[in-house]
Amino acid sequence: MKKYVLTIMTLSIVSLGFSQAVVTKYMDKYESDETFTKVSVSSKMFSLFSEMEGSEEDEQLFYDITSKLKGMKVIMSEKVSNPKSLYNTALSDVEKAGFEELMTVKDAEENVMISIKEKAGTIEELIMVIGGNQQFGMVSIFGEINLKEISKLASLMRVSQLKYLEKIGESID
Amino acid sequence: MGSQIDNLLERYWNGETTLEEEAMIKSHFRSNPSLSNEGNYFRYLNKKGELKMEEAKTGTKKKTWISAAATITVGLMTAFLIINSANKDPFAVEDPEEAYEATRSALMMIGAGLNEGQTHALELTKFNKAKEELQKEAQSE
Repeated sequence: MKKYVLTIMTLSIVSLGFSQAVVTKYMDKYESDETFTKVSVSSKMFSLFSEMEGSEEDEQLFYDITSKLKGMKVIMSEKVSNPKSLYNTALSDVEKAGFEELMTVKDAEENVMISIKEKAGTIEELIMVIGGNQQFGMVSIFGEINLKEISKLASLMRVSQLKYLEKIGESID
Repeated sequence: MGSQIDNLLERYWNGETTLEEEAMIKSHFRSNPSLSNEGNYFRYLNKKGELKMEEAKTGTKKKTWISAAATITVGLMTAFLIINSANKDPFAVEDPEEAYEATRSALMMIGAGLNEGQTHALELTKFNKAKEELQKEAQSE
C-alpha cells in the first residue's frame, strides 16, 4: 500500500518536474545575464485572469485560453552575440525533449519554429523558438492548448490594434 | 547454573537454541538482574515481546486503515511541499497586471507565428475580413 502511494507520488512529481524543462534550463543558464528577459507566469495567475471581466471578443477568448493553461515561460534577448548557434542548439534541445515540429517560418529577418508535445490528442505543451539577426527567444506554454483559439486570438488582437490606430487617426483628423 | 546459562548462550549466538531454551535464557536474566550487556539485551527482548502482544490485542482493522490514511496524508503533504518549492521559480511574475501583459504578448507572438505559417491565401482572406470589419466599424461610427 505504502509502496503504491509512494510510487504514484514519485511519478507525478517527476512528470511535473519535466514540464517546461527546456525553457527552464535556458532560464537557469542565463539567470544572471541581464540582457535576457525572463518571465514565468503560474497557473495561479491564470486563474486570476478569469476573475477580470472582459467584454470584448478578444478578451473573452484570452480568458478561455488562459483558463486552460498551467504555466507560461518566456526567455528573450534583443541582443545576443551568437543568435544562430543559440537558435540551432535550442532547436536540437527541443527535439531531444520529445517535441514534434509543427512549423517553421524563415525569412530575412528571423527564423521561427513552433513545436508541440501531444498526449492523447491534446496538445500539452507548445514551444516557440525565435532566432533573429540579433535576437533569440523562447516562449513556452503548458496546459491544455488549442491552436485554433490562439491563432484566432492573434488575429482578433491585430484587428483591435488596427481599430485603435484608426481611432488615433480619427482624433488627429 | 552459571555454566548452564553460558552453554545456552553460546548455542543461542550460534543460532542452535530451541524456543524453550530461549525462554529459559530470558527468564534467567529476568530473575537474575545482571548488568551485563547480554542481560540488558534479553530484558529488552522480553519487553519487546510484551509490547508486541499488546499491539496484537488492540490492533484492529480500523487502526490499519487509520495508519494508511495517515501515511497518505503525510505523503500528499510532502508532495505538496515539494511541488510548491519546485514551483517557486525566481522568474515568476507576482504582479497580475504584468503577468496579464506578458501572457497577452506571448500568446500574440505564438498566434502570429501560427498565422504566419499558414498560406498567403488565408492571410489575405483574414486581411480582407479585418478590412471589412474596419469599414463596418467606420460606417457605424
